[in-house]
Parts: sequence; C-alpha cells; structure tokens
Amino acid sequence: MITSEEENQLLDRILAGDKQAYARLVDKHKSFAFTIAFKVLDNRAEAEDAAQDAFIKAFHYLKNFNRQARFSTWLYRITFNTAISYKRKHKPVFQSVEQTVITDNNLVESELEQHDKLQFVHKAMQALNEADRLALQLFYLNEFSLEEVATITAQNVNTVKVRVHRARQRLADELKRILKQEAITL
Amino acid sequence: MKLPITDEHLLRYLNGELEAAEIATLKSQLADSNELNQRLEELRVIQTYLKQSNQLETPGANFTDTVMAGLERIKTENISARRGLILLIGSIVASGIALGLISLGVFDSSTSLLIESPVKNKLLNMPEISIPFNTKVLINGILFLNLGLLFMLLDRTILKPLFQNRATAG
Repeated sequence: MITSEEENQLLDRILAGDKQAYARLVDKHKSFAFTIAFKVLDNRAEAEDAAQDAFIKAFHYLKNFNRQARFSTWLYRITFNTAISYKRKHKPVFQSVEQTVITDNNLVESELEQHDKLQFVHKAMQALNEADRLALQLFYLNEFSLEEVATITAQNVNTVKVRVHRARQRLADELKRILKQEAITL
Repeated sequence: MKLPITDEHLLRYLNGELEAAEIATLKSQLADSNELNQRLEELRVIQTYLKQSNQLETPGANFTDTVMAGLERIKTENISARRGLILLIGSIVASGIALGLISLGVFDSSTSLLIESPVKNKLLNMPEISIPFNTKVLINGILFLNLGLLFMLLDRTILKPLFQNRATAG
C-alpha cells in the first residue's frame, strides 16, 4: 500500500527519468483503471487495451500533472476519456446477459428467485441512459465519492448526484414492471 | 402525522445511514404499507446487484509489462515528431521561395508539351501532338498541394500534441 507521500516521491523519481518507478504506479492502479474501462466498453480485451493506452498517455503527460487532485483521480479521468474514445471508434461487441451476470448452478429455490431478479436488474441496467449507467457503476466501485465520480467523468457534482439517484429509481421502476409482467405470464 | 417516505429514505436505510428515530418512523410506516415494503424490496435488489456487479476486475498478468513496453514506443514517436517539424519548416521555406518566384513573374510564360510519334512510317503521315499548358497555373497547383501538406504537418506536429497536452493537464 503506497501512501500519498510515497506516491509523490515516486512521481518525482519518474519525472527525473526513473521509468521503472512507473511500474509501481501501474501495479497500484491497474485494477481500478481496467475496471473503469471495462464499465465503459463491456469487453475485457478492449478494456485492457484502453487502460494500457491510458497509462501510456498518463506517463507522456506526467510533467503537466499539477498534483492539485490525487494522481489516481487524474489517471482515472484519462482512462475514462480513452475508453469513451475507444467506444466511439470501435463497433460495439455483443455480449450476452448470461456472460455478464454472476451465475451459480448450485442455488436453492429462494436464491434462484434472487438470481432471476438480478438478471432482470442487469437487463434494466442496459436500458439506462449511458451517462446515468456509468455514473451509477463508478459510484458503486468502492473507492469513489460523488466528487471523484464527477471529476473522472468531467461533470458537475450535482449532476452526478441526480444521475445516480435517477438511475437507481429507474432501475427499481423497471424491476417492478418486469416482475409484474412475469407474475401475469406465470 | 406520517412523513412521506421517499426512495432516498429507503436507500439510506439500506445503507445504514438513518438515525434511530428515523428508523423507528420508517419501520412503523413499513408495518402499515405493503406498497412501501415492496418498494424497499425492489431497492434492496438493486443495491445488491450494484454492489455485487461492481467489484474490482483484474486485468491480465502481462498488463504492466505491456504498459512499460509501450513507453518505449512513445520515445520513438517523439523522434518522428521532430522529423515532422523539420519537414514542416522545409515546406514553409519551399513555399516561400515558390511564392517569391511567382510574384517576380518567373512562371508567367505559357509553354507546350510536344509528343512525337514513336513510329515513323514513310507511308503514314503521323502528325506531332502539341499540348499547350500554362506554367504559372501548374506551379500554382503544386504550391496549393504543398500548402495542404503544410497544414497537415502543422496539425500533426504542433496543434494535436498541444491540445492533447491541455486535455490531460491535471
């Protein structure tokens, strides 16, 4: 675990020409960066390319980083922007619901019901407005506060708050609608 | 008096953020309302899904190595940017010289391209073909293409890196 002071020292060493010190920063932040890219792209291979590209860009522009925000927030913003540009450039790759929802073949009946509900929620998530969905997913990634999600996505904090709140409500409404429909068809 | 319970209250309850008094109020209203209970359950499912599906993902084992290898690639691209800049300066100088010569009237005369028949036959009288063209128009065309190349180089070597720099400044 690197402290912020150690991180600043690492940044100083990298700027002085110690490229290997950057490997430590990459190791520290790669999971979050990859996860953010994956949330945007929904494809592991593309997400890995985008996250790697983001780290390379961050290294290239490190001399411009003024350290007013945390390095991680700055990096994740680059990652988010890179993933968005990848999404615009590449055609969407279809990934079925079954591949992305947690599955477990040994569920008991009550767990199956819960599992079904989660499948429905996943479907409802795909129907959300992309900006709302991303704000919601980033918010639920443990480390991020509303302010950090706002910085990463280059939005106003109140906008992010509204998006997260609205997205949760829409999911709940959509789940209600789907469950009602399921009850009618049974 | 019953206070209106919103989704926000229910979510805060699920996150353990309500005070004891608020919890008591909520529970008394839940006891009287099936609709409220159902809404709570819907939001609970949403919260469970969001927490379960937003765990940290792990990239491939070679992730860091690939990034470090990519840093070497940047160094090579920086050298190309320098060459691009030299080419840009060269193009500006060449365009300047061409403009100077055009303004002096060096290319003002018209000329023509003479094409002789490769086969000279005593029986068939093949005429020589002469295609007239204006040298000034030709040089203007070349200069125009050169200016296009100049703008492309300006974009690649100076403008694009400059805007990328600003975009990633933290």
